[in-house]
Amino acid sequence: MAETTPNIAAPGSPAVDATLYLHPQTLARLGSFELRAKHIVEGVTSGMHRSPYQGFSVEFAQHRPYAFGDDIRRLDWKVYGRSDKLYVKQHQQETNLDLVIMVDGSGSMNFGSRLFAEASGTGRKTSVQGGENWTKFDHATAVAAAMSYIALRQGDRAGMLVYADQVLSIIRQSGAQGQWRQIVNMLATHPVDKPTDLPRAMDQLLAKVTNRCLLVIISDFYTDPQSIRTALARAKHKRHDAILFQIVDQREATFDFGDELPFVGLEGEPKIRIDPRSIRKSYLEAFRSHQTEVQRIARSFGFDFQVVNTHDWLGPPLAAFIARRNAQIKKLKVG
Amino acid sequence: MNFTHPGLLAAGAACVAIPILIHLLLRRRRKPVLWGAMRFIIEAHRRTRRRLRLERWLLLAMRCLFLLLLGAALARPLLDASAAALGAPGSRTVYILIDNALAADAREPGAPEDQAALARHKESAARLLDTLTPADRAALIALGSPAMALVSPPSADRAAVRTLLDNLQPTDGAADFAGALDIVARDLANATPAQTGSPSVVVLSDFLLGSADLVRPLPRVEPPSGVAAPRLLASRPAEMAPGNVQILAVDPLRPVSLTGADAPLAGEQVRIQLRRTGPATGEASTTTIRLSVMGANTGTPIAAGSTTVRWSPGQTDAVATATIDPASAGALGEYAAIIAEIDADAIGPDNIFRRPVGVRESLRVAIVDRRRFGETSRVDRMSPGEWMRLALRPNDASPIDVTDLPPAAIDAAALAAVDVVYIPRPDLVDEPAWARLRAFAFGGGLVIVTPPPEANIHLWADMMTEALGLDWRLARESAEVVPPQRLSEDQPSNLFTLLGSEWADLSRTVEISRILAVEESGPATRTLLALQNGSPWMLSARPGGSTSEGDTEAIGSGLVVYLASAPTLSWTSLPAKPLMLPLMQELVRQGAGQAVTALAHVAGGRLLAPPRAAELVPLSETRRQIGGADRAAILVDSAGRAAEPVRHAGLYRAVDERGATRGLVAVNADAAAGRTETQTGASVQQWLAQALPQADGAATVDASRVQWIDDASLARALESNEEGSPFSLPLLIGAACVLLLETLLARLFAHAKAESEAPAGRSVAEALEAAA
Repeated sequence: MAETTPNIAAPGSPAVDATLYLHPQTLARLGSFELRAKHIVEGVTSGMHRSPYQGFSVEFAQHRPYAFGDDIRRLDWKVYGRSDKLYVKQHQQETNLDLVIMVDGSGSMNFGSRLFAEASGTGRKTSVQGGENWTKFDHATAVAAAMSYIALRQGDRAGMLVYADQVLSIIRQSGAQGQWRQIVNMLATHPVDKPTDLPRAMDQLLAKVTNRCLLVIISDFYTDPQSIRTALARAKHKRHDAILFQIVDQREATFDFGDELPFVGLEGEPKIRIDPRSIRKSYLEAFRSHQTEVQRIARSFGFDFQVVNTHDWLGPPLAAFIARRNAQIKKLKVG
Repeated sequence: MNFTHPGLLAAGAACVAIPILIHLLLRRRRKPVLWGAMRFIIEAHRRTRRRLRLERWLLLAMRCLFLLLLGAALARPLLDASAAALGAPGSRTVYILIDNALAADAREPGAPEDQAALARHKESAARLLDTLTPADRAALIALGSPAMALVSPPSADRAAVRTLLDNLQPTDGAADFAGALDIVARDLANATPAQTGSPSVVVLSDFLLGSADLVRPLPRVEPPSGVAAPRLLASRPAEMAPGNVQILAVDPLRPVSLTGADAPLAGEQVRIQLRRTGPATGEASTTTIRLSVMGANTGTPIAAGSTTVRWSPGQTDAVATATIDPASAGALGEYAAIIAEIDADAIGPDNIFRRPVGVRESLRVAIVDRRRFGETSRVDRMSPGEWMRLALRPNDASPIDVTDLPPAAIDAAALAAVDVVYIPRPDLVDEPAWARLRAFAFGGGLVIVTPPPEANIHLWADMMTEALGLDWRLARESAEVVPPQRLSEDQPSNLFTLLGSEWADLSRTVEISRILAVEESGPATRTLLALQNGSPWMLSARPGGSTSEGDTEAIGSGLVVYLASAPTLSWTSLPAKPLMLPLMQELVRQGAGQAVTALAHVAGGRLLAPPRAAELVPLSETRRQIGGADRAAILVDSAGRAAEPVRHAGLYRAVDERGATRGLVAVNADAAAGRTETQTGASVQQWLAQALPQADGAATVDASRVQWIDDASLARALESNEEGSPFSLPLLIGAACVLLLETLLARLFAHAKAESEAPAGRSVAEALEAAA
């Protein structure tokens, strides 16, 4: 097993090769997929997403009885002629999607048990910051790159922020095709060492975003479920859509250690010497319970939740997830 | 609780630290793991902390308990502290008590030595020594009386013990089990627990009646606190034994021959007592007794006749009388011995009996009285001294010389010149004179005391009894016997055996009208003559006889005789009667012979030498018979006894510091030790069990604690001593159970089941998708 070491390089380093994190095969796998928002988002440019704003030149939505003050230009005269009643036509305007990616940059994301050379697309042995292991943050970078790439390819705008106990770094939304490379560039050199405070970061994000967005939250979510609930509730309140990607290292999911070991937390937790075999059952129960709880919270707000294993190839599960999501959205639209 | 091997227990206790050390060492070497999902570890740890702690302590306790139990089992705990064996492995201590007494050498006539019981015992002892390890120690104690510690305290030098064992010779005395056990007890008392280890007492004997007198109690071997109680192992009693004929005693009718130096012992009669034991007692047989005489200076026995005893079936005891052939009696000198010998049988030493006899030209008697000048005694006014002089020397041809010894002239020189002292006026003897008389009596002299006829109050008696060591209490005043009593017609003491046939006629005429009675006397006092009403009239005792019972060395070899009536006509008619002369003559002759009789000893004791003897030199005949043993002269201490015990029968010449012969000392085989009757194992076991320490609260000693051994089981019996702990096996079983339980718990607590629950290589995402 490769040793787990935190990456400590500062952000803003010179540009890195984005293919370290987003392999061409992954790109090919995701190329035919579209990223749709469950909610109707309001975009500033025309796109493939429905706009919440009804108007004349948009797709018919529904009829409603005429009320005093309505614009008489929106009356449906055909209905009046057939039924002698006044109804107003309502339309939905199609718009583009703003994708905002929130990447967890807390200390726990700096754990990885997979070798970097094995996980990266180029065969490089160490990360930009010199780490030999493919950390959860590296995997989050790959997911962020993939998601932003899909959004940009379908004409949407993509932005990104890194948070821990607060928002640490931000790349504003842009529809430029090279936007995902900037995202990768920032994430590859971003330090990962602080504790998590998702509600606070969410508050800071919501204060900056004015239009409704699709939020992609990429984290291990090793925090209090209640704080996750709080953060998601605020996003829901602002009528944003959200997708939660939980990045999990295989070692964390299996906890297959042998003899007694001292464990030291990456977010300042005290050292605990313990026989892993003796607590494995309880550990896995807690782990799964927490994962289920986070998933339940996400679903309670109508958000999608996806677990991504650092030891898995990113393309297939991500493609499967997006396809399933799009299918669900179509189903909702028809209904 | 004590342990046979406390070192192993300590090692087991020390091993308890091993699991703790392993735990600590492994703890220190582990490198910390940086972990992201720490919250789940903390939560799992919080949930399982109490249970894990309990599991860990339980496992640690199991492992420590296993090592402790294993150590304790190997340490062989013994619950009874008094029976605890504390020696380290190989530190056994074996006390070998080997019977080399008279009966141990019993074998068929002409058979080689290796057929005797002693040879078998030596072989067993040698085999026992071979089984010991170099760390073990062995003591060798010969049982021949008195018991002799050949090797004690125990030694690890087995070669030296083996050499002494090979050179062990049979003795002619009894087996001294009590003395041997005393030696063991003393050695254990002086030993430390570490020195003693696991003590065992191995008794090798056939336990024939002659060796083991089951009536005599055995001392208990009580080890001091902390020293393990010894185990007692014994060879099985013999089931068959050869027959044996032995000479119990040879008694000349006159122990002192006054026939003159030209023809000593000629015509003297000798009474010989025989006894036969063993399986042959049921058959008729004959035993020929051959007599011989030997002088101290001649050195060679001279045949002096023979006689034959015919045994009828079932007869065990016989008495024969023989007469010394006058033709054989040559010039023997002043000191001679009669030797009786019978045919060879199973036990040789008791086929010969040696009896010293005195050969004197005359006996010298001193009468302690004031000299009476110028008085012509009338018969009715004659003093006791005058009557005695008349009785002892009626004419000039009498072989008894009588001299006067004034009370003030009693000194060592005067007493050295006489054989008998008669004191008719004990009231005139002062304390220093009594002290000198004590020395005279202790040296073999005869002291005859009669009450002073004129005294009203007799205060002298206390001084006499105290000085001579007599347990008598005499009356303060003489008493008139009303009516006057005659002497009892019963057969008198064997002191007057020669008067036996005429006693009734002679005693009938004697009347006793006044006596100074002995109101109280001890068990050592013999009544020689009594009145018709049963009152003792003539008593005798050995000087020093009032000392503690069993202390034979404090008793003198002479004799003190007390007549309750003064030999005057005012007290008794005896002086005027025919009995007076033979009675006093025999009293003096037999009494003087007591000192000679005392020179016949039984093997195994410290000899009483004649007065003024400085050492005892074995005669050449004796040296030949005993095969060179005890060849060196034996020194005589200031008390007149041999400085060391004499274990072999024979004749010894007592010489003074100038080399002059002072007498002949005979040592004979202990007749009691020659009895060859067998004894049952149960009775012997019960008897030997007396030596074992009594268990707490037990009224009697369990006889089964005496373990029989034979040649085959000898080594095994000792080995079982090493495995004798009753707790080792249960502790080992307990340790095995704890080990099994620990293994099960370790597997249970290893959470192997939990490990197999999560399939390796399957991601959570896949698991969730599969679930969806």
